[in-house]
Amino acid sequence: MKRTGFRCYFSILLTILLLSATAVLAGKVEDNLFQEANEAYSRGEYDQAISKYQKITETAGYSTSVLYNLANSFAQNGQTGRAILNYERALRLSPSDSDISGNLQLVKKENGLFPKESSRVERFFQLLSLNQWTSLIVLALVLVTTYLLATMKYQFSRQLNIGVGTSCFLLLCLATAGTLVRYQYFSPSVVISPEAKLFISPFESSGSIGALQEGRLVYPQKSHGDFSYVIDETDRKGWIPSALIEPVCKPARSGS
Amino acid sequence: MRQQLIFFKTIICLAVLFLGTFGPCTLRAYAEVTVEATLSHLSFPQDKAARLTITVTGRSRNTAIDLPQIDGIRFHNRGKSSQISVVNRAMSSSISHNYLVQAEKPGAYTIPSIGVTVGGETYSTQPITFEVSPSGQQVRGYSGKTDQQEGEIAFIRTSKTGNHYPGEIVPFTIKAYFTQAYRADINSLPNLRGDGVVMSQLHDKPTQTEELVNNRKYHVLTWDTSLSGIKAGEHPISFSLDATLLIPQKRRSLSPFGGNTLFEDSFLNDSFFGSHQRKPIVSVSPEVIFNVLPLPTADQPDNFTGAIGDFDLKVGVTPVDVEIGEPMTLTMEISGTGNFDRVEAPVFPDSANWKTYSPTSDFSEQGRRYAGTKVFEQAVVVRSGAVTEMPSLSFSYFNPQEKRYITKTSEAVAIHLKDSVPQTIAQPVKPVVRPAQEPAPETATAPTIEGLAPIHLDTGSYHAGILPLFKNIWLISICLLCVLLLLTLFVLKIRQRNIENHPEIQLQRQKKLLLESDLKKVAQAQTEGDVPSFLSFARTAIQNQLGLLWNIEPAALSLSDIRSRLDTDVQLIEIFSVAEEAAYGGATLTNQKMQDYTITLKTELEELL
Repeated sequence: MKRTGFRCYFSILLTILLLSATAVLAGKVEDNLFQEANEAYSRGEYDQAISKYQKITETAGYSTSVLYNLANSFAQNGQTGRAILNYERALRLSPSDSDISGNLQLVKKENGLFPKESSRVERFFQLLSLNQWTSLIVLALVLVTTYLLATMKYQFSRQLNIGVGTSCFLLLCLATAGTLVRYQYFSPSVVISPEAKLFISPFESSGSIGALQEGRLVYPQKSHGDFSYVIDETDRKGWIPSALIEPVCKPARSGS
Repeated sequence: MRQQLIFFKTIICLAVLFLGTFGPCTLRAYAEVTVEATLSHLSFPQDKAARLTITVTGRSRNTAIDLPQIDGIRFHNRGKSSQISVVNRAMSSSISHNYLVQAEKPGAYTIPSIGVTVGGETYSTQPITFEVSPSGQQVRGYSGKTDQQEGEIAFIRTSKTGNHYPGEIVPFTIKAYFTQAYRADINSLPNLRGDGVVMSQLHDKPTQTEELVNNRKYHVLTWDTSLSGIKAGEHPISFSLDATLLIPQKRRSLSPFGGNTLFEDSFLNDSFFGSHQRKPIVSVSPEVIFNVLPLPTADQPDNFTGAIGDFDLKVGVTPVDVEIGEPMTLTMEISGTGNFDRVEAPVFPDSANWKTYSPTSDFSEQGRRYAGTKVFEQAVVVRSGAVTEMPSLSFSYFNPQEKRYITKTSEAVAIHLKDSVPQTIAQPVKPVVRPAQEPAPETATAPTIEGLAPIHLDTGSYHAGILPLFKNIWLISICLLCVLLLLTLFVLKIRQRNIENHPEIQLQRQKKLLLESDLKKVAQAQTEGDVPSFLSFARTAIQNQLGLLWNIEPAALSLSDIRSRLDTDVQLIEIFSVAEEAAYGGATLTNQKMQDYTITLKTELEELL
């Protein structure tokens, strides 16, 4: 009986050890691949660097650094759309990374992708990222809960109760509004083809509304067959072949 | 007498109303007489018959019809029907004389003018030409084959075409006619038959009208579209349309009894009763030649991109007061009519003083797809302090009316450069990871961007997907926990406030809890048969409850206090008395007595709550 239990424990321990070793080895493989991709980038072999970075993304998932390096490689390779796509993805993971935002602005400027003038309200909500606004919601909730807990034990003045309650409520409302506004712009798609056009109808033979620059952000609204109905940054609406755009937020692991 | 007066007035009112309603209309209806002859089918096989209807409108009595004698044609009288209708106080009356027309042999026939005598005057109908096909053949109008003779059941007419150029947008109209005698379902949009010409997409909902062709009423479906020649040459084209006719199943028979039978009544032949047959038909338009001429090569401008039509060019730039390196938006607006698909942005002259970016375009149509405005926006940056004006831009197109190339050129726009350190655009720093001394190796096809921040050397953490923070399960859990905690706290807070506002509730609860505790001790002592403890606990229970009730310290309550405040018949006094005696002198109680005392204590003390 004791012998059987020992065997069972031993098997579990062995499995855990094997899994850990596999994970460590896999991480090692990705680190090596990342190093090789960086070296290829330094040599100016951008195609090779892109291939290696994409392989890491496909196997290990999304990492800010890998996406950023991949975007740099695409930018140096002249693939503006995919460069912007990966900068945008990297920014979603690290919104405060100045390298990413700086390079994104530079690539956009170099390719004449000047942003639309934002309104005051939009500029205000752009002060914080989506995740920061979301964090504020949590902060407001935690604050108000803690304060209410404290009032169960301690007696506070009425003015303080009103002040704290109002402040937390306002913070909650503002943070919710910020989250909602920022979320509208959180998951756009990027035009990845240099010859993208907006069509009146979801058919190749339909009339063209106009051209879309590679790297432009568009917001898909619905799809029909191989076409997506999108609104671009300048509020133009129309149908575009779905193959010419790539979503920034992609839950599944796949490189682009 | 009074009743007679009312009756008389009513009669007069009704008479006036009747005359006002029908009098003038009736006169007007009888004043105009029209005679019309119609044939149900202008083409039918020899073994079938067509219905000839002679309708006399205006007077419905005393009409005499003089049917002509035609070789090979027999007329069978099928009686007459009359109709009176009043629409908006206008009354019309008509009488229809029905005949079946049967041919003895196939061929083309004409029913000449038929003389109709109405009220002593003779009127004539229009001649009717019809065709009789050999027996066993289907009626041409609703056969599965194509049929384009006007006057038939369905046909297509198209607008005329002339000489055009490759890529030119030619407005074109397709009209499909369906006789009102039958219901028809359209199975497809008109298809273009022919090579070398393309048609723009047709609308699903064409314009629907009614037209009179050869004295027959037709439903007309109209599509306004455009054609465009792909290559030079003469291209024969036609249009086809698939439809299904719903043909009423007439129970017609050449009855020897003559006259209208019940089943020949058009009312019963109505499709409402589901008595119809579905016949697929293909209607094809007559072939037309779409002639596409080659564009003249002589004098063709270099910047001609294939735009054909009539266009206008407007150019603007904002802002005009800029610093070197500051982007400006160049707006080029091309408006007019023509093939906007071939309209491209005017090319900005190549110059070292300017940096240009690829333009974007936006087309807005004005009612029709070949008329509108195409706006190009292009970002341009001044690179040199020598720039004083935006160069003029030109756009060339071919005008098919004037049959020549036209070039529209914009005027140069003055640019004012603000005072700034004269410099070219700042040269950015090269990536750090690249060897500092050696220039980066450049491939022939890869235009590198200088000034990018260097790549990251540490991989960092990996994420399964790119999701916003609020979709994180931990964050959602924290939020839910906070909300639940908040709700609980709110409830507790409300309860606490309620107790603060109503202290008696708390006192009541306290009394109840104390009583439960005391009675529990009493019951336990009774179970154990411990008489001294039982009596001691019973005494304490009475003191606790009465003390709280009378707001007196429970331990200070004595037997005399209780006797003075409670009625003498209350059994609690007896129990308290026994308990007091036992406390000082000892006492014995039977189990039964203890049980009785327990019940009494419980009952009477609970009543005090």
